Amino acid sequence: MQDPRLRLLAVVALSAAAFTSVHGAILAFLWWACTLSGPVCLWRSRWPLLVFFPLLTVSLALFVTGGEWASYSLRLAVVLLVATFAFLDQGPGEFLSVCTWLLGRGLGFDCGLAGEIALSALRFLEDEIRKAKWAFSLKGMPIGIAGIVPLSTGLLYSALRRASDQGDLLVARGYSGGGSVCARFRTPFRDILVTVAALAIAFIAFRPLGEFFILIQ
Amino acid sequence: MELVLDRVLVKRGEVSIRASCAFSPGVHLVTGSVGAGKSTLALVAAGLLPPTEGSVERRGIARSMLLFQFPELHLTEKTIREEISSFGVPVDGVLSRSGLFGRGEEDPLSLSRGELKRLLLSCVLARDDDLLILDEPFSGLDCTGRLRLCREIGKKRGGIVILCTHERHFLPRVDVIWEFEDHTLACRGRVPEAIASWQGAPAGIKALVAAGQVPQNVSFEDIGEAACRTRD
Repeated sequence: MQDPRLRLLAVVALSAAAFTSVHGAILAFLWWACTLSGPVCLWRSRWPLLVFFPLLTVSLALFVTGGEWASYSLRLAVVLLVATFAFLDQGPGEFLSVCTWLLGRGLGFDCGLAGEIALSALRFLEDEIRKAKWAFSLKGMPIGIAGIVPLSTGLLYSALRRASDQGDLLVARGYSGGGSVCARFRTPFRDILVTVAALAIAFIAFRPLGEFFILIQ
Repeated sequence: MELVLDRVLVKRGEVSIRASCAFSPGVHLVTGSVGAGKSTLALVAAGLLPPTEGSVERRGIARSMLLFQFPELHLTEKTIREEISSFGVPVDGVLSRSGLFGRGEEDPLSLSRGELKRLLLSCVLARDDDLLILDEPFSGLDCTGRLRLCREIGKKRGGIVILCTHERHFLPRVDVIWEFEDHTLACRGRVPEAIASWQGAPAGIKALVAAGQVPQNVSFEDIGEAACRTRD
């Protein structure tokens, strides 16, 4: 999707739909698989799939304790898939542009900036993990259990150093709160269709399945 | 012993980096502007990044090491002592050479970036690798550290040393000069003949070449010596 405003709207609608009901989750999954380049995004970078590990843990706990594990896992898995798509499809600066457009130059800019810094940290992390693996490879060492602590410490350290550098840079450029962004959005017709489909899915998801079939009769 | 990059092409976003070259034993200086492709070449040569096209052949190279531009990326251990050991080099010798004697039990992340760079340079230079690739080794070092590093690189004999840098003032004596031109690696030849055709040479070297006083090599001492000849 090229218009980040429509992408955000579609993602919010689909996340709500998927979380609300199983049929909403199935429709949201079909939207992800067919309508958009979700699978293509995952092929480009699969590491965001790591977010599924906590879900697996919770699902396992629900299974053991006799909870509604199947419905929960399916709904949350689709929410995470949609979130992964939103992250991978988003370009640098887009979140800042959307927030400023939506909430204005004060609060909107600040929220957008905070979100943008967080997103760039996630993108940076992907690169850092790859380089850390190279470091182990150069020394002929496998990344075992013992390597997890120094690896995580190193990643945390570089994230903190980067945050500090970014803070210094913002101060040096005179940032004290708020700001303006001269964003230009392109809205292809395809994006509108895809967003309408997402909103329709959200509409269906918030109604019981039986009621929906009565409606179309 | 030889490292051969046969029609290698690496795509990084919109940019295509190309190299078709052979590195023989000696010190190879790879220069180019920021973003030209030096770090990518270093990764490909170290075998960490597979090329999009072409092949990399290592003839007679058993051990190799790459020093990243950012020293934090190398850290895999909890203490300085363990970190030095992970490179397979004598701990006390490296601690002493890097000016960190008595600090072996500290966390390597407690060091400043300059100290960390010095430590890791000491580690990689203490190794006996057939292929040593240094990516921007001068960054984070002061003038004294840079001159010391030039002397250390000059002492490395027998293996292939590839020095990827955009440093222009402090360089060691090198054997071959390579240059990135439009993201394509070009060989300028062996030193000193290569110096005259080195397009991205520092202004001082260019002025000397224009005055007809081509330095014997690219080190600080050689440039100084050529400059003295100009005054004569």
